[in-house]
Amino acid sequence: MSYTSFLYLMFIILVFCVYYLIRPGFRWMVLLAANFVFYAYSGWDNLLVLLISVLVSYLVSVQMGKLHIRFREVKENGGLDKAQLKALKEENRKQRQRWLLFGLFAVLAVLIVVKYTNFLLGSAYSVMNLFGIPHNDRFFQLVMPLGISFYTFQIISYMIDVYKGKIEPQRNFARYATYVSFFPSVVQGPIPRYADLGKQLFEEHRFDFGNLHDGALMILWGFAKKLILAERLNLFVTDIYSNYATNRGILLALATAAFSVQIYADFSSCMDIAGGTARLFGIRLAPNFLRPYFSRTMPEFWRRWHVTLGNWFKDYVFYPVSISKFSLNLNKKARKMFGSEIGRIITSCIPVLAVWVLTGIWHGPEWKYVIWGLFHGILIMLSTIFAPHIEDLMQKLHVRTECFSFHLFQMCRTFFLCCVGRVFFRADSFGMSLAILKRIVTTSGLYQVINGGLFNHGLNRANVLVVICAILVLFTVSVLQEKMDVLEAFRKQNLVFRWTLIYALFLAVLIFGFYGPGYDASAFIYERF
Amino acid sequence: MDELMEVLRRALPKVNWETDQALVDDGIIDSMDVVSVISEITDEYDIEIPSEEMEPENFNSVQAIYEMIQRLTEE
Repeated sequence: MSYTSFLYLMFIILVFCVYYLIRPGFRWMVLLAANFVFYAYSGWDNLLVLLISVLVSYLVSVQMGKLHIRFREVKENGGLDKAQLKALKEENRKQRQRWLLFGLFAVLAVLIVVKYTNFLLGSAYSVMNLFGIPHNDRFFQLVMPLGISFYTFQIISYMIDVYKGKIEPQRNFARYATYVSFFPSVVQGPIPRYADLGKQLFEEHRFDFGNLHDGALMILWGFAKKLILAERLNLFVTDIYSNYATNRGILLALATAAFSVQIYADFSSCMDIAGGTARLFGIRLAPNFLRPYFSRTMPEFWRRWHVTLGNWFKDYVFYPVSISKFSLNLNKKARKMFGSEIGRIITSCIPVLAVWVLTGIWHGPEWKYVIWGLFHGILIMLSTIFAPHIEDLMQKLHVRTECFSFHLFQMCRTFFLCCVGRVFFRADSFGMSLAILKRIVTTSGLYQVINGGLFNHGLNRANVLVVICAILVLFTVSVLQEKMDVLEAFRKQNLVFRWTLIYALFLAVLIFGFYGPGYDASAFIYERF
Repeated sequence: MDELMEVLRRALPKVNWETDQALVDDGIIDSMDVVSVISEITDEYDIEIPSEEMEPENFNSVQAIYEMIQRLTEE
C-alpha cells in the first residue's frame, strides 16, 4: 500500500476514526491491528518474516531484562562486598551479552538471507570465474519484506539499549509488536528509538484538533513534494541516465543535480507523510531531514540527511568501534609514533570507514553502494583532517569566512560533492557511474540546452516550468524552516490566509500531481532499502 | 578538576572548556572529538569507558566528564 495512494488515504481515515472511537487505554490496539493489516497487504510471507524478528528480539530482551532485575535485587539486598559485587556484575553482563549476541545473530541472519543471499552468491561466482572454477549460475527468488533494513535496525537498537540497561524491556508482546511494526515508520523510517516512540505509543492520546490540522497538512505537503516534484524529476533523470552513452555532459550534470533534488523530495516527502500520519494519532516521530542542502560541510550534511540512520550508526557502530580496546590501543601507539594529531587521524579512520562501508551495504546488496559509502567516508575523513588547516590558512589570508557569500560558497561546494556521490548512487553499476563522470568532464553539449534540447527528455517546457516553480516553493519553505517552526507559525496565521494556502496546495496536487488511473506513481526510492 | 582540565586541553586545545556547558548538544564537539577525549581520559586515569556511558550528557561539560570519571573509578 503506497503512502501516496488513494487506498492509503482511505486506510488512515478509517484507522483515525476507529482510534478515537475506542477508549483511550485501548487505542494502541487499534494501531497494532492497523500495522498488521498494512503490513499483511504487502504479503503474508513478508508479515511472517517480520514476526520472526519481532518474536526473537522480544524473547531475548525479556531475558536480558530479567538478568538486570536479578542483579539489582542482589545489589539492593546487600551482603556482598565490593569485589564480589564486581564479579557478579561481570558475570551478569556476560550472560546478557550471550543473549544479545544470539538476538543480533538471529535478526541479522534474517536480513542477510533475504536481502544479501543473491549478492553474496553473485560475488562468489565472480571470484570463481576469476580462478576458472566451474559453477552454476543459480540465484534464489526470495521474499523482500517492506522496510526490512529499517525495522531490523530498530530491533537491534532496542536489544542493545535493553542490554545496556538504558531502557526496560517491554514485557507485553502485543505492545512490543506495535512498536516494531508501527505502520507510518516501518517502511522507510525514521528509525525510532523505544525510549521515544515506545513511550508515546502507549500514552492515552485524546483527540486534538491541532494534531489533526498539523498531521493533515504534513501529509498534503508530502503528497505535493512527491507527486508534483519528485515524480516529474524522475522522468527527466530516468530518460537522461537511460541514454547516458549518447547524452552530452551538460545534460548528465543537470540530471545528476536533478536527481539530488528528486531523492530529497522523494525521501523527505515520505517522512512528511509518515510524520503527518503519526501526528494524527498524537505521536511525534523523530525528524529525519534538517534541510540538508544548506549544509556547509560534508559532516554537517550527514548530520542533517537521514538523521535517524546517522544517529543509529554513531551510537551502535562508530562509538563501540572507536572505544574498543583495539582502537584505543592503536590510538595510543599511533600517537606515540606519529604525534597526537596524526595519531588521532589514523585511529578515527577505522570507525569512520567502518560506518560508511556499512552505510553503503545497508542501502543495498550492490557494489555501487559500497563505493558510494567509501566515497563519503573518505570525504568525511578528508574534511576532518583538513578543516583545522584550512581554518588556519583562511585566517592567514584574511579571508572573511563568517559572511553570507562564504557560507553560500560552502553550501554550493557541499552540494557539488553530494552530486558526485549521487552519480554512484543513481547509476546502474560502478562502470556506468565512471562513464557518466567521464562524459560530464569531457563533453560539454551546452548548445543542446540552449537550443531547447532540454525539453526533449521526459519533460516539456510547461513541465520544466512546474519543476522550477516547485523547487522555488520548496526552497522558500526550507529557508523559513531554518528560521522558525513553520507549522506553529502557520497555525497562528489568519484563518482566511491559512485556508487559502491549504486549498492552493490541495489544488496544486490535484492539477499538477502525477496520480490516478493509468498512472502508477513510482515507488519511493528508499522503499526498496 | 585542574588535572582533568589539563588532560582535556591536551585532547582538544581549541575548545573553551572553562565556560561551555553544552559542548555536545551545541555541536561544539562532535563524535570524533568525543573519541579523542575518551582516548586521553582512559590513558590518564587507567579506566575503561563502557559504551553505556556514551551519552551526550556525559560529555557536555568538564563537570559532567569529571562526574563520569568519579563514578567509573568508584565502581
